[in-house]
Amino acid sequence: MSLINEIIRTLQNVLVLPSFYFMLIQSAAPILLAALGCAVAAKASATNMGMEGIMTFTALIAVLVSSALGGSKGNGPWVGLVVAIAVGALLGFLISVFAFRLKIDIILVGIAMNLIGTGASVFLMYLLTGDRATTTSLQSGTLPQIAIPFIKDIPFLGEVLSNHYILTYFSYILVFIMSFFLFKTKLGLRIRAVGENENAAESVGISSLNIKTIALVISGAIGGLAGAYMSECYLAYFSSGLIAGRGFVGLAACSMGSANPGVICLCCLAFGIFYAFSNFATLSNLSIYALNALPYAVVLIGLVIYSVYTRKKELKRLQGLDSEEHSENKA
Amino acid sequence: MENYLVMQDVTKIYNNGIIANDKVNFSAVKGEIHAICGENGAGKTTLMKMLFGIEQPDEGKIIIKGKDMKLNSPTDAIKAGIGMVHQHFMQVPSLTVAENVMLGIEPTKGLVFDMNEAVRRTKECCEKYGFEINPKAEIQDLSVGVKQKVEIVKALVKGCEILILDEPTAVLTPQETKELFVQLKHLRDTGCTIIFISHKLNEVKELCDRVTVIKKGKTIGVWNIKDVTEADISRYMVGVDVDLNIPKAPAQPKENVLTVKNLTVYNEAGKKKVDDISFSVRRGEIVGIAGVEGNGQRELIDVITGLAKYSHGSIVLDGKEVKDMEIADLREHGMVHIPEDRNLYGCARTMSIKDNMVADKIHKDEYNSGLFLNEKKIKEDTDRWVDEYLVLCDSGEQLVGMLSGGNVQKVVVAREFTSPSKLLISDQPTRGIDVGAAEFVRKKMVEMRDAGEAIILVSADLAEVMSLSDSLIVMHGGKINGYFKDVKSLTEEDLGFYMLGVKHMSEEEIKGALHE
Repeated sequence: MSLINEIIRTLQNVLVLPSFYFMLIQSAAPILLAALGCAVAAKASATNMGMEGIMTFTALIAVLVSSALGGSKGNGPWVGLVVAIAVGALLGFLISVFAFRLKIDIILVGIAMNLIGTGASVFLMYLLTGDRATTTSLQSGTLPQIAIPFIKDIPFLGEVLSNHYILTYFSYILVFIMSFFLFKTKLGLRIRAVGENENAAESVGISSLNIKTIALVISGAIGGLAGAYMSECYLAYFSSGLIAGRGFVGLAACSMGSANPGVICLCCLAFGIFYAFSNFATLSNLSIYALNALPYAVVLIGLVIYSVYTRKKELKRLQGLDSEEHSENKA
Repeated sequence: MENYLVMQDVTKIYNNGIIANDKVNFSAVKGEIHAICGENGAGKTTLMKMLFGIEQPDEGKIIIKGKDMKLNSPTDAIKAGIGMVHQHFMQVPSLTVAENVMLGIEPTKGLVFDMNEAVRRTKECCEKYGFEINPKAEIQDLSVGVKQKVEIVKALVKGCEILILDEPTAVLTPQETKELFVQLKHLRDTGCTIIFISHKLNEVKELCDRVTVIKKGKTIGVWNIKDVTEADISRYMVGVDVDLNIPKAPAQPKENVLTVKNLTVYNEAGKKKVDDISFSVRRGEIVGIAGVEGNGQRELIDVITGLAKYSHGSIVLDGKEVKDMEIADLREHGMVHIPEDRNLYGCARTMSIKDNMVADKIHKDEYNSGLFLNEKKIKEDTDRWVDEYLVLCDSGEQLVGMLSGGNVQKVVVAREFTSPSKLLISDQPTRGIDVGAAEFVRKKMVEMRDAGEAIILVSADLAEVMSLSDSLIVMHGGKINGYFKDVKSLTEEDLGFYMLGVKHMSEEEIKGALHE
C-alpha cells in the first residue's frame, strides 16, 4: 500500500504544475488519434488490431520522407505527414484485402500487421541509417508549434493550452470531425448500419464489403497521422520502441468508449494523466519502471471496470424488455 | 382478373442435391392476400427467396406485369417492386426508425444525411398506410410488433407492390396479430399484393383471399379461401408417403425414468415458449413429440438436455431434479442426447472420428493411464464401434468433417449409444441423411428400447414419428394438444389436425401423458 500512498503523494505535488497539464494534453493526443482510428473501423465491426504496426511503420516513413526533403528547413515534416497518412491508408486497405477478400481472420491480419510494422521499420531504419536504435542522425525536424493569441497570456491556462504542436490541436478537433462524420453523414450512417447488422445493410443493397474497406482505409489514414505525431511532434526522431503500445492503448480506449468519439476522448485524457505522470518521476521516490508501467496498469483496470459496467447495462436492458413483454401479455 | 405475378415451373436444386422446388407454379393478382401453406421443408421459403432475388431458380420463369424478370439480388427485386418482411428483422437496433427506413436510399444535403427529410418521408408513408410509428424512436426500444411494422414500412417506402411476409405472426402476441391483420387488409385495399406464408390455418382462413398449398417441393393446388375449410387445407398439407415398416414388438413400458411436471419455459426475451406441460417417459418405450416447428419443442428439449435453464415446474430424471445440474452431471446421471444440429452441437468437425466417439467418456478411468490417455484402449473401442455402427471411412483417424451427413450422424449415434444411459433424447435423428443410414439409426433405437431405455423422439418427419413411437405427444402453441397412448390408432389426417391446432383434446385425455 505504500506504493499507492507514494503515487498519491506525488500526484498531489504534480497536480499544481501547469507543465503537468501541458504534458497530459501532449501525451493523450497520440492515443486519441489511435483510438479514433480504431473507432471508425470498430463502428463497421472491422476491428483494426493492426493500429500499433501501422503507427510504427508510418512514424518511420514520416521521418525518412521529411529528412530526404531537408527536414525543418523546407516542407519536409509536412510532406512526411502527408506520405505517412497515405501509407497508413494503404496499410488499412491491405488489412481489408486480407481479411475480407482472402477471408483471413481479421484479428490475425492485425497481429501480422503489428509484427511486420515493427520488424520492417527497424530493418528499414538500419538499412538506411546504419543505426539500429534511433534516427537522430537524420535531422528530420518537427511540425510547427502554435502560440494561441490572447490565451497564451492568461496565467496558468496559457501555459497549459498554448504552444502545442499543430497536430496536437488537430487531434482534439478530430474528435468533433469524427462525431460529425459517424453520426451526421450518409457514409457514417452506412458504416454504423453495416457494423451493427450486416444483413440489414445488404438487404437494402449496401455492399458491406465496400463499407468495411472504406472504414479500414480511413482507420489506417488516421493511424498514419498518429504515427507521424509520434516521430514529428512527440519526439523529433524515430526509435525502435517509439510507439510503445500506444496503438493497443488506443484500441482499449476505443472499446471503453464504445467507439463514440466523445467518450473515447475522455478515456484518452484519463490515460494521459498517467502517461504525463510518468514523465515527472524525478519528483517522486518511485521507481521509474513502476511509473512507466503505470499507464498500462490503469488501462487494464479501466477495461475491467468497463466490462463489468456494460454487462450490468445489458442485463438491465434485457430485464426491461422482459417486463415490457409481460405487461403486454397481460394487456 | 389479370395475373400480376406469375412463377412458372420454377425448379431449385441445392448444391447438396436436395430438390427444394420441383416445377412449382404460383400466381397472384393485384390487390389480394395470397397464402402459401406447407409443412416445414415443403419449399415455401425457397420459393420466396427466389422471388426476392436471394436465390436464383435453376429452371422456370418469374413474370411480373407480363415481363420476364431476372432477379439476381434483393436490389433487383426491390427495383421490380417486391418487398420482403423476413422472420428475422433486417434492422439496425441503435438507429432510429427513420434511419432504418431510409437506409440504402438516404436523402442527403451535400455530404450530410438529411434527418428531417428522412423523418418527413417516413411519417408520410406511415400516415398513408395507417401505421402509427414514431420515426425518431430507436429500434431497440420498440416491441416486436412495432419492429415488424417498421419492416413493412421499409418495403412500402421503396415503392413495393408485392409484399412477402414470412410467418409474420410467429413472433406476435394475439393482440398484435389482430392489429397487423387490420393493416394488411387496408394495404390490400390500396392495391398491394400480399403473399402470406404461414402454417397457422385459422389465420390463413381469417386473412387471406386465396391459398396455394405446397408439399415436398410441388404445388398441390390453389383454392379460393371461401371454398376450403381448415381441415381441407390441413389434409392437403400433411401427408405421409410410405409406411417405414420398422419391425418392432409392442412396447413393454416399466417405471418412469423422466417425469416433467407443470413445466413452463420462457425464452431470453421473456416470451412463454413452453406452457405448463406435464408428461412422463417410461423405461422401454419411445415417446414421440410431434408439432409444427416453433411450437415449443425446441425449448422443451433444450431444458431437458440442460442446454437451457427453466424456473417454473420440475423435471425429474431417475428420481433427481435436474434444475441445477450441469450437462456433464446430467450425462453422468444417465442422459444421452442426439442433438438436432449435428454439425453445431453433435460433433467437432475438425477432429477425428475416434476423438469424437470418446469425447463424452474421456474422463473415465478406463480411457486414462496415469496422466496420459490410454490410446490403445481408445483405438480398440472406437475401431470396434466404427465396424458396429457401419461408419463408412478410411480409419478412425479420419476427420469427421470429411464424412457424409449420414456417416457423421452414425458417429454421433455411436458415441451416444455406447455410453451407459437410461434416457435417450433423439432430436431429428435422421434429418438430411440417406435412407440406409436412417433405417440403421431407427433400428438401433428400437434395439435400445427393447433393452430397457426410455426414449424421447422429436422429428419433423411424420412418417418416422408415427412408425417409430409407441406413444405420441403433439405440441401446439407451447402446450400439449394431444396425447396418443397407442400411435397405431392414429391417422395421419388426425395428426395434422392436432399439429395445426384444428382439433384439441380435453384436459383429461392430455393428463394421460403423465404416468403416476
